[in-house]
Amino acid sequence: MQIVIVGGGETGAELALRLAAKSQSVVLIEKDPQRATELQEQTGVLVINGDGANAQTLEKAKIRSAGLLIAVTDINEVNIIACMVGKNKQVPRTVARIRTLEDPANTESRGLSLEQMGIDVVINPERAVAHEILKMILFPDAEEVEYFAGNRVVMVRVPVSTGSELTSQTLRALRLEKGSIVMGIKRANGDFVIPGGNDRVQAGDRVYVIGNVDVIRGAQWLLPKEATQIRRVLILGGGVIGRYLASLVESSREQPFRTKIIEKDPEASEALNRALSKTIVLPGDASDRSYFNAEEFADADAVVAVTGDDRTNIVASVMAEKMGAKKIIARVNDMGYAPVYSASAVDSAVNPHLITASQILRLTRSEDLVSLSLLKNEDAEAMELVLPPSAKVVGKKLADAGLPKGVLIGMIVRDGETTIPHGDTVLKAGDHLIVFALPKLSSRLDRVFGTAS
Amino acid sequence: MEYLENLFLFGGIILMAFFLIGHLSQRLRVPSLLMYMVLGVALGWMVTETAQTALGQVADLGIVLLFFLLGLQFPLNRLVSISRKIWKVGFADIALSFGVTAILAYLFGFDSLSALIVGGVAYASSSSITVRMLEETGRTSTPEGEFKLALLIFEDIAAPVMVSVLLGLSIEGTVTLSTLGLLFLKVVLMTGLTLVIAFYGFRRLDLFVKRYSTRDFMPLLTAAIAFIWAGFAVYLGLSKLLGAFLAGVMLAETGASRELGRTMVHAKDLTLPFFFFTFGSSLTFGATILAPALLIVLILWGVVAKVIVGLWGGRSYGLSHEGSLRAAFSLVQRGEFSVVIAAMAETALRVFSGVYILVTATFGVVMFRNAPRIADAISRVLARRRHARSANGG
Repeated sequence: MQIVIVGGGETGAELALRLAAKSQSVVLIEKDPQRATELQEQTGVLVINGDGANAQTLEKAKIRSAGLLIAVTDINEVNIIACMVGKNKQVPRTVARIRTLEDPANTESRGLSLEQMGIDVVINPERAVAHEILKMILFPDAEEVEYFAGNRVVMVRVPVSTGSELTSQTLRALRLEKGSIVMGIKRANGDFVIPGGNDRVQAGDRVYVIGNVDVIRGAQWLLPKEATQIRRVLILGGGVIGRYLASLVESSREQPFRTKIIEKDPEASEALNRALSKTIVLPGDASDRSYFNAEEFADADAVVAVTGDDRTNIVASVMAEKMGAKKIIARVNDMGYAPVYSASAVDSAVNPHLITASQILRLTRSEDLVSLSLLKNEDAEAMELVLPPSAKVVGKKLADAGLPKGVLIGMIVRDGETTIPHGDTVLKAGDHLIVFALPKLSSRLDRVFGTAS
Repeated sequence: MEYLENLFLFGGIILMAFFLIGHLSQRLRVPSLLMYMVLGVALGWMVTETAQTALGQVADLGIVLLFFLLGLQFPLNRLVSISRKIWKVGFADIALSFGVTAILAYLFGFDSLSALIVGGVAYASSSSITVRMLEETGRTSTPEGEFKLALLIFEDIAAPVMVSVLLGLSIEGTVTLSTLGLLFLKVVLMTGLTLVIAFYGFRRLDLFVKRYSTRDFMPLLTAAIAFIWAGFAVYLGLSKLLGAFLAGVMLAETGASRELGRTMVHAKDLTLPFFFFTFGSSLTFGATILAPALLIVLILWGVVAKVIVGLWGGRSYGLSHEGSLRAAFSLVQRGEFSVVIAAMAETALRVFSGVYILVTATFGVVMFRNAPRIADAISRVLARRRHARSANGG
């Protein structure tokens, strides 16, 4: 597929790299000539120096033959115009990154519908980051969390310790709680296995377990130690991410939290007070020192440092760790700081660019795909797809469906009910399948499930 | 009459005295309101009834403006969420400060009405002193400041109910359920009306207010709304402080709290000292004090009860350990409502209550000032002990 990316910032560059690695044909449009030259060298894809909101530049990038237009410049308006022009030139799918406080899909505040703007999918990095962080707070012991089936099903990655119940028997004999299943094992030596019934989990492995949200949340058996209880959440920085996150945490129905947010700017604090209802807002004195609040660190279970400044986030994280916070999550903007994070106390670092890029990557696949997530180190792909009536496996028993080795259907969502399938389960059109697959098999999957476009 | 004839002279002298006292308190690093109160107590014998009434009216302006300005800092949705969190603490406060005190007084031989009145005197922390102290110490916008204000608002709603119940008991000897129901209905009506006007009125006036906020007629609008709403509350038989506070909340919806606040702050500074002065001069003292042993017990309990409410309530409100410690040591001062309730009692009990109020107010202000230091010291001791225990254990 021909893919045009407008905007060569960190997200654009990351996307170009990842898509090129998947042998997609990528053209990148970047306004700044010097950056354009750099990108050409860095990514190896074709970089056109020009204005992405300009029809001629887009023509030069062969927009007419493109299957996907991704507009990720820093300016909302440029992204919107690029999509409008793209849609006008018959691009089947357009994606725009829009940074606003309000919900970008809420067209009332904008006066134009997404359709009128020619945008198929809006990506809001701040929102995405906030959602990502919320998952980490809800599942503090998991190293990775993905939701499926409208947040009813969740997949977590957890380390396995010696003496864990999981190591006692083969997977077939193992009595896991009803409604959950081991979908993948990352061996201590780095190998990744999509397990069969005869495989065994060993201490030192990391397992990917999928199940209904309630089952996984209460799953003490999964954990190597006492489950981390998070009740008090402290957010540092009341910018867009902090504010989204606070409102998400406030409205979390899965668990009630006590949330506090520290914002150094007194006026921004006032706005936060207006916007948030349950969160306690701690206004600062306009200096970064406002964030280094030992008293509040000592009181918090989870500290989330999402100020716009990486160094502030790092210092605050180290301090929070010293004061005994159980879970520390920090935003990292400049990936150059990544080594500092991994050497420090931060449990999880979130990067808005990477999150945006991985969200967009899902869209490069066919439309029957509801969601796709790449696991850590791209060991495997976990995806939710809707079985089209034309798929050749429809009407067949799972055992006869001819799934290649390295592919596992972990769960089927049918008429709102989730079930773990077995060999005799018959696949039906319209089933939501949650599938785990090794990345090299993804092209074959399209054939099996009829998702090839 | 002579006061009115020489209005400027008297008024000027009083203002000059307040200025000197205020300045002195700054030099001595003593909260100014305490000095005004002490001045009131000292000069109380000089103040005639007419003067007391006149001063009282100016004082009312001051306290109404104080609460109005406070309300300006609370947007509506914030207030709604606060009220959701505070009611449990509020009822615990009634049980401990009012209930236990009344029981203690009863056990010490007071008759049931006197015991209830003493309970009422011990119930509410002084809103005016607390708010003024928050301002003086710059702790208004801290989370624990918010918690204290929330509790005060709860008390300001509960106290008028209490006053009317006690009044009913002391005059007629009974309280009917319908009087109580009516009172609740009025509170609901007042709050509901505030919400409606704020949402459908002031929220749409934002541009108007922003455009004219610096014009000379804007203070008129601001003051008018504050006074009308305070007056309406009084008309309904509720607290004027509650009305003034709600007026501030309504105007806060315009999003121009800062600008509107600026128009009123000088008027508040001019009139508020009168409040603390008349507060001091209205206390009744006498040569003999009824049941001094009980008085000491009640004062001690008055401190302990508020510390418990602050500690437990602060934690359940979501404050940090240190934050709730600070809150615990900032609630002891009793004030205006206690005076109102004490006024219902007969003379001997009034003296008893006067001493109670003065001692808790003074002690409360001192504790309030030092609350951060006390909290810090306690949490340091606790941390050290925890450390020692974990070292022993390990």
